[in-house]
Amino acid sequence: MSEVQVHAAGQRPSAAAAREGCGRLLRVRVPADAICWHRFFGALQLALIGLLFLTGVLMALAYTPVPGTAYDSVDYFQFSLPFGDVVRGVHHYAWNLLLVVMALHLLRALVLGAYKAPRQPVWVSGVLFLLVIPLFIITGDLLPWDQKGYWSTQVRFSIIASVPLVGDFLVQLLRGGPLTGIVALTRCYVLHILLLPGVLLLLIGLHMYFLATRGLSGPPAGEAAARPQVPFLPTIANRWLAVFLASAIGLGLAARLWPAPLGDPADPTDSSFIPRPEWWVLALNQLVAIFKGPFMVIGSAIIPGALIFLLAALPFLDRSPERRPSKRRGVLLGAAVVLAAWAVLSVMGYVEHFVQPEP
Amino acid sequence: MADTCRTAEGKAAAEDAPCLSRRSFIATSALAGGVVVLAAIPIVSTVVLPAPRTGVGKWVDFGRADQLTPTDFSMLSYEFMVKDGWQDLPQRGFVWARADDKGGVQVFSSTCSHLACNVIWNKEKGLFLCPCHSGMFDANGLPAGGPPRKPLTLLPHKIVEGKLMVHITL
Amino acid sequence: MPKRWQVALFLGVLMGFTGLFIFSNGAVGAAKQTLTAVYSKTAPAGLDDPAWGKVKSLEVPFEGKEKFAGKKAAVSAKAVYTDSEIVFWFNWKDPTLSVTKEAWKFDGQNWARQKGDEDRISLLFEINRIQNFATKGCAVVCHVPAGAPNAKEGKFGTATEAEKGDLWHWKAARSDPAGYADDGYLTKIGDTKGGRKPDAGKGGDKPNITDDKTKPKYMLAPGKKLGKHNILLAADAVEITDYTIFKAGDVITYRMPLAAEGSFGDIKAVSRYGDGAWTVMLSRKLNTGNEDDVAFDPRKKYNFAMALFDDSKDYDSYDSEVLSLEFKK
Repeated sequence: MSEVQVHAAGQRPSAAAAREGCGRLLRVRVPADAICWHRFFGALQLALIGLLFLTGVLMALAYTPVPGTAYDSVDYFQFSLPFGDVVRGVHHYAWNLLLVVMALHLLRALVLGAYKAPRQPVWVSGVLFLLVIPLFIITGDLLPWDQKGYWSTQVRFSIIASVPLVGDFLVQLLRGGPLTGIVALTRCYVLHILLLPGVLLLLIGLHMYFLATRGLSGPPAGEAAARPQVPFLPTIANRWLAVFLASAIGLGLAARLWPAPLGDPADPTDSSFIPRPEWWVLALNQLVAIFKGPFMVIGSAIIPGALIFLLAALPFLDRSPERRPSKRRGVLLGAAVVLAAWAVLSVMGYVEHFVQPEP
Repeated sequence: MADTCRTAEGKAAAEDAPCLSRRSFIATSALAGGVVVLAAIPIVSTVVLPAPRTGVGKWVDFGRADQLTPTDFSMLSYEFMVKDGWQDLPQRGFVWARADDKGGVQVFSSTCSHLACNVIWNKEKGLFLCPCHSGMFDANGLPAGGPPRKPLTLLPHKIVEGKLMVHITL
Repeated sequence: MPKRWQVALFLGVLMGFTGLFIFSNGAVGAAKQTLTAVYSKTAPAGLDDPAWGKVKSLEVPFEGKEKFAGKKAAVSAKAVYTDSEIVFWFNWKDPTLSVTKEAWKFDGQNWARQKGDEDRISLLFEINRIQNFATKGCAVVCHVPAGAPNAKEGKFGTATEAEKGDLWHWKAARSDPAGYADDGYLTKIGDTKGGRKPDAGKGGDKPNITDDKTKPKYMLAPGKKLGKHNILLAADAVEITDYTIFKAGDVITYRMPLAAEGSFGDIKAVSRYGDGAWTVMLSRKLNTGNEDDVAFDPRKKYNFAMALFDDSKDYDSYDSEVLSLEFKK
């Protein structure tokens, strides 16, 4: 069943001694179809997360989580240190791209039915990423202490606060008090660079563990046939290194050409500043806006919560072993409806915030 | 949708022995080397390169030079703004100064030559005493007891329009 | 299938990036005017350099304060930068040329200083970030209400020593005739002194007055010529030995511009008054290397604010909102 086979036995005796020293890793084999075109999203995500860690550590080495001074340190990093703009830009573009690739990764698994038994835990651990990554963005956005980050955070805090019972408490917990000031910034900083990366590493480990024990999904038509195998080292590792190099160079060039934005320093007394929602949150934002007053919670918590829950529960709701997309019209139709709704809401949000003139 | 995604490399590689060939070892090393080099560029430029910058000296004005006496050291304290990375921060400290017999001025750094505590002038004993490890220096700044082996640093200074200017390096 | 793989990779990356670029311009807040400095290989040679014709001007509205309260003014601004220099060009309507600055006038019997001030324009940049300057502009440093921690007796400055501004001050009568604009800086206000300080070096003006304060002390040295707008430069002045040579109606400059040296003279000025308008060009090195100057990095955005003085002093000015300065290659 397991695709990661460790060939301890069945080797020619004359070569056995030589192979002994190559280590266990060398003997890890992966189905050859793991390196097809719609299967590099996972590798790309790992590369992007690697880039985010590297650039994040470098930025953290020149950062002080103090309102005002935080802005100076980011400005210093971006403009006074050689390659500072590239590092910050790579961090910026990497998380934007990560969201896109994550969505594609999820979509692929959904369309090809990769969530089905025995791979339910792979899918569920994957859905958990959807809860963690937005937290990274929410906490990270405040760190440069510029107008956009500050006021977007204010908006996000009020959205979280609209969740009944726990909302207010959650916001107070995140802020550490009534103000979005030095305590809030420090909390966001520690979450962003220490606690959340810990959670993320744990999740990656979990996802990989399930991947290794439950195996890669095979062709949708059936897995009975023996699949050709390739060694993890060097074939898969080389591919991954190449993906890492390509994404690092690509993002580095983008960062040099289109520098990461850094607005004016945050001014908490300037209520004239209206933050525009970022692209990935346009749909959610629109959802929040549709339900007014006491119904806001439907858009801010109930619908997104239900979606995440449905997504996580998918392998337990759709239990048939059938994986061919043509035979799973119901699930795909549901997914298409959600996707279309998301797209429509995003376009509505885009029109409202970006096309229409400011009031 | 492809049922299986076969690749030419995949087929060939599948028959490889589970041991790295010379060629794939070189390929992996080259790729890994590329990653290391790429990562090293920003590490060097943002972490290593800014580090060895040395402090810039500054001439600090301590006011009237004729208020110094030859018999006793005066503690002259200073505070000025220094750019520390991304912030201007005040740097505070003090120096010991007295008029010498030749009409000039002698200015000692207050930093002990042993482990950089601040030495304090003791008028009764005629010694600079270090509170940390009981180091002692005489009025000429020479070690007079305790662990210090090197004298106190004499600071460059000049008198401009009757004002004592001392060159302080941080 | 390497070909399909490549196509897909290309499409995926393309899709991702289009998405990013459509949406990544993020939030835009309250309208803030942006003056874009346009790159040029060589700096414009003067006010009439054809290069200025190609640069779009920004119309900056100004609002009157104190004695000009309720009135409005406007300045057309342009900026050009080269690899080493930045050049600003300003043009504003002013029906009266004011360069008197209390010049001496002889009535046949006595000398008296005339009423009348001068026209000025000033710019304030941040050397180190000034709290809320990016959003509130001069309201946080120059026009703070009495009693604010950074204002004392009509003097102003920043609230802390870490905050530092770069003040460019073009004076029609006191700096312009010597070819520069005063370069100063703004730092924490002291208990006795304001936070406005001149940059290191020499410059400014020298009062032309005798010790008994009744008459001018200097006149134009023989063989020299008066400066622009008939202003006597300190360098061309000689002590008056015989006061009988003057006749009624004679005018002598009271504040004689000094030649600027060092950081104080970093900003070169060229100007013209004609057709009821001032045209002023100010140029400076992008990075002077001086602690008391803002260093311009063309990759960055800078905040600045301007003030206009029409034959007036101190707080009687027209002020702009805070503006943004950007560089475009």
